[in-house]
Amino acid sequence: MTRRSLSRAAGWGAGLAVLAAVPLVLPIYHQFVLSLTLVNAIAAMGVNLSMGYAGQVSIGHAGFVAIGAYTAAILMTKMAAPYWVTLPLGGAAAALSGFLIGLPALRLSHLYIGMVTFGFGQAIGFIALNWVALTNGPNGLAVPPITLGSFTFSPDTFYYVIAAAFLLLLWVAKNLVGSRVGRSFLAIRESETAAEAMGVNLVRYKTMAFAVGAAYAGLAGGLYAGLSQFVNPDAFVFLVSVLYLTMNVVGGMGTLAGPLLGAVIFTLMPEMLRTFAEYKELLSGALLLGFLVFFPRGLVGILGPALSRRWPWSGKPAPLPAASSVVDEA
Amino acid sequence: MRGRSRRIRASASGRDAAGGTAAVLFFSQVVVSGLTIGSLYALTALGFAIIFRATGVVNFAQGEMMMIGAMFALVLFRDYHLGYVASFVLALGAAWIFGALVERVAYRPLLNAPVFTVILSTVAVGQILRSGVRIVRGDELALFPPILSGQPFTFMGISLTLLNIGIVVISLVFLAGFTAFFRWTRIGWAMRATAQNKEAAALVGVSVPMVFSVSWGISAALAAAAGILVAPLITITPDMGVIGIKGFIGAIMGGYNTLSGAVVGGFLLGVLENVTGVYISSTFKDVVTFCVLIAMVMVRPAGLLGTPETRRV
Repeated sequence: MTRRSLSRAAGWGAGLAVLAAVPLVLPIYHQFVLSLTLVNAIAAMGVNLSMGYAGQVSIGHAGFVAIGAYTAAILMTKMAAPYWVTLPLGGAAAALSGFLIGLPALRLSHLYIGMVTFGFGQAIGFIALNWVALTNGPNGLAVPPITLGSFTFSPDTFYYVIAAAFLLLLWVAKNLVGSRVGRSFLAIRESETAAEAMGVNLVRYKTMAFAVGAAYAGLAGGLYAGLSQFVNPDAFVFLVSVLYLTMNVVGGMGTLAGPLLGAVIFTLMPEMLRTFAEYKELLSGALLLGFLVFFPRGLVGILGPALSRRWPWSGKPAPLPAASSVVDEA
Repeated sequence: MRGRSRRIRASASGRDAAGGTAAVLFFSQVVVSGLTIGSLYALTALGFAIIFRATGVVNFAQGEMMMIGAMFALVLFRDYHLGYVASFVLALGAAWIFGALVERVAYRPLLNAPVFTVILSTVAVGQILRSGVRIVRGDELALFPPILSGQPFTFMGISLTLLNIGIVVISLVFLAGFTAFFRWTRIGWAMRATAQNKEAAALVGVSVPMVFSVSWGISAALAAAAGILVAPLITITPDMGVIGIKGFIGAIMGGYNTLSGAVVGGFLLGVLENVTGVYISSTFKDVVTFCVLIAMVMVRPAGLLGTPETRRV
């Protein structure tokens, strides 16, 4: 084993140990918040894969999360399907819709993709609200307790399911980003024309970018349904889509650590600012704008150089598209 | 030829039975009500199209600009007891300044940033405005007096109000005015040139920063006008900006890169919504709307009247 792979293994081991040990010392409510942080981190990772790596705008990601959550909730309540089947099905359903949304993106510029994903998020919200026979409308659906054999999960034990899924998905993302797929994503983000000229299959990788990003969101939705045991349209409004974007921008889009950092900040912030609840939207909006203007590489861009030697995930922040390539494409 | 004979047959069969006439009348009523709602969408769509024409970005905070404009007017009218006209004009001016301010803070620093960064920054502005207004004014529901009477009267069997007609006329006037502005004024040319190519426009002497400032200002003032006109029909709340989404969809349907396209799309969307609401299901009219949006973007992204987008390398 080389020194590098050793330190990498140590990094994963330490992460695993922390995630496993934390619930033992945290009170139950804080444990719930921690679970929520991980769920948000998974959804934010999805946004990051589509947008941060492949450069495909998604401002309706809460729609994909809703698809995952409602797939799980509906199949469990109406067809008594086991949670462990509905969770991957939710991810698959979200991935399929991501693929379909990705199709028009093949020939459209960022602006139109932005509009389509925005419209998609809104449409999913309206369907969840209005298709009462299926979704129970604004009253939402109660998700039955999740069991594995004879064991029934409580929110504090369900944390381990979420932590396992989180680590698995983080590992998948890390490998995806470092693979041929990830390099194709980056090439597409920097310049579609150049990528195509170098032999990147645009049809395959652009739709894949949407499908993968959506699958993460769908799985996050399914985990959310299992965690909160309740699904209603309020959890998937436009504000939530913006929140996922904010997590990425503030954390550092296009880096693995960025969305995780963002998810931690923006899940804990409302808890800490409980007395100033009305200011939290204002604050997150201001942070989004401020980081876009002043620190487009996010916190990872600020802290990254200092940490990169010790932290196996941060690596070198991928450069943002150069100004010239953007002006030309606009 | 065939189309015409079919149309004649259709109208003849409509005249046949009394029930048929009633159905036609009812349908016309549905369409006319749709046009009224549509005119509001059209005004909002026009605001989207103007920023797009001049700066090449979509302002996702357009609905919030509308809300801010209506709030300005409300404060002037109710808290400072100014007259309707004075409040209207001052609110438009305030909105113009406000729009220019937003441009300075959230658009100009990002001129060289990727397009999606600019999209996100307008999203951020929308959220800041919404929550900011909610903090300052709370979740109050405020009604604003209409510019014309909302008393319905019957014309050729169809129920109308002066307010409806007024809003339709005002949006058409705005459309004509802005079309003329873009076609015949120097600043209009400068705005079009800037949208096409910032560098080239600057090279031929266009003051690009001024163009950006003016187009955001105009767009905000237009949004304010729409907001004030809409205010009597919906209440003024921090969340009233959601109607902006409809204007946005209308703009896409009709065609983003032409002003008339945006306006026609707005009207069309209103009619479509009302027809769906009455004949299919009122709860699903929004879903139908968004399906139309997605289908439209997939099949004909330039919109009905727009010219297809060409992508340069």
